[in-house]
Amino acid sequence: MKRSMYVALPLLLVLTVIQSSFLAHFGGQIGPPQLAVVVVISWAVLRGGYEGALWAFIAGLFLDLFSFAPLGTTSLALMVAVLIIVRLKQHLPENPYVIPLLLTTVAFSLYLVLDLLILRVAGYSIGWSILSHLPLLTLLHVLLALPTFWLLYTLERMLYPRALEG
Amino acid sequence: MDINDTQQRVRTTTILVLVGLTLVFLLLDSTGNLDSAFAFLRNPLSSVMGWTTARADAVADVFTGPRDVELARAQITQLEARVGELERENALLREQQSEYQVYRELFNRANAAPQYQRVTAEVIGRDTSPFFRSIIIDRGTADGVAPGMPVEGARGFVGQVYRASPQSAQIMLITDNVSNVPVRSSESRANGMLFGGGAGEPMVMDWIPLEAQVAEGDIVFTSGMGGQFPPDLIVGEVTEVRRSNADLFQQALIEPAEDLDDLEMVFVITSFESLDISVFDSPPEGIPQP
Repeated sequence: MKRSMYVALPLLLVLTVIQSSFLAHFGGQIGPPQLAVVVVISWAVLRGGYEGALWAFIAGLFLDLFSFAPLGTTSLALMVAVLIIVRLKQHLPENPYVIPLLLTTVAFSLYLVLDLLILRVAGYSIGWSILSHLPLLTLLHVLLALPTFWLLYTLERMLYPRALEG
Repeated sequence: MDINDTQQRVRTTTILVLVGLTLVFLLLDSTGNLDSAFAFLRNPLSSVMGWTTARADAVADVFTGPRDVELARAQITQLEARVGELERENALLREQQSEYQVYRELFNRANAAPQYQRVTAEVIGRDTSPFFRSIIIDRGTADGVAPGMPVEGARGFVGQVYRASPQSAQIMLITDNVSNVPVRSSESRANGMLFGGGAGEPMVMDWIPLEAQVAEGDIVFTSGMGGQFPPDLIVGEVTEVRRSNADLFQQALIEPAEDLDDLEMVFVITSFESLDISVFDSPPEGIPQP
């Protein structure tokens, strides 16, 4: 766990800066691609709820630092979304291709809805109409999750090499 | 006790502590108690973001280049026709302006026209949340930027400073959900309140009196009501009017004058002469205090 935390802090900080500056040029009306969120979800699928929640907490704080949203909003939404999909994963059959994509779809949609709910509870008058962009946003981020998941899988193998049996 | 149980308990406790921390952060930030922490954390990142944004501009130009050339050709044709039309309109306006100038000079003989002080700033970041429309600029309290100050782009008003640290500031754009700006229509002089629509939604000018003749193509300016923003900054253009006799007010959809998704430079108005509303601070003499 410690090894992943040493990676999480710089990685998520760099991703947040890139998301706020570089990727902001490619977002248009629906905002920049949520690269840090996709990375957190993919890591949670790979490493489970505990590490996922820690990464979600860190990523959320970094993201809120560059947002109009109050600090803690993204962390809370992302942590809950991650914990739910990890619980969901336990009831699903093992499949290295379909299940991660399915879980990313559920997690990303959940994250957006929860984020919106928290913001509304916090007193921000954001209309529900924004949810009409949810299918497109989710689809784009699931596509983004494909290379992300593969890269993180490689990273996980480097951080936690499997012991040879026999 | 099983070691796995202990580990599980530690993990559950950690997650609960983190959830608790996020709630504390949420409360503190909502009540404005984290501004100094924001400044401390964001400052070192401002220069990194400035560098990243500059690289992003170059890459974005490469990606959008071919499409922009085609678009530019079509726009040139349209603009040539528009130039002729505007030249005629300009001649008419000059005449009207000279008349207006006389009236204005007479009216404001004693008072010099207010001169806004501006700070030029580069946009170095954008909101990471899909629900908000804000930008981050490379100027902060060290340059005289403070929360509440109006911000304009090359073509018009874009928003106001929401939070400022010594080296950077966050600007709430007029298209943001929580933005509201007192505005006035150019033709009818009708006042209203401009509300940001949020992601993918148009801005709405609301509370326009039913009798006001607001039409498509009218230019909308800041009205200066309330004294928070200077008057007469161009905000946008009316694209649609929603009017029903059953309602108390009519609404107009507004397209911003500035392309807010592509802002690179902005001006923060650090000083302007706002309307004097101090007369409302104390009730007139003779009126009993409640």
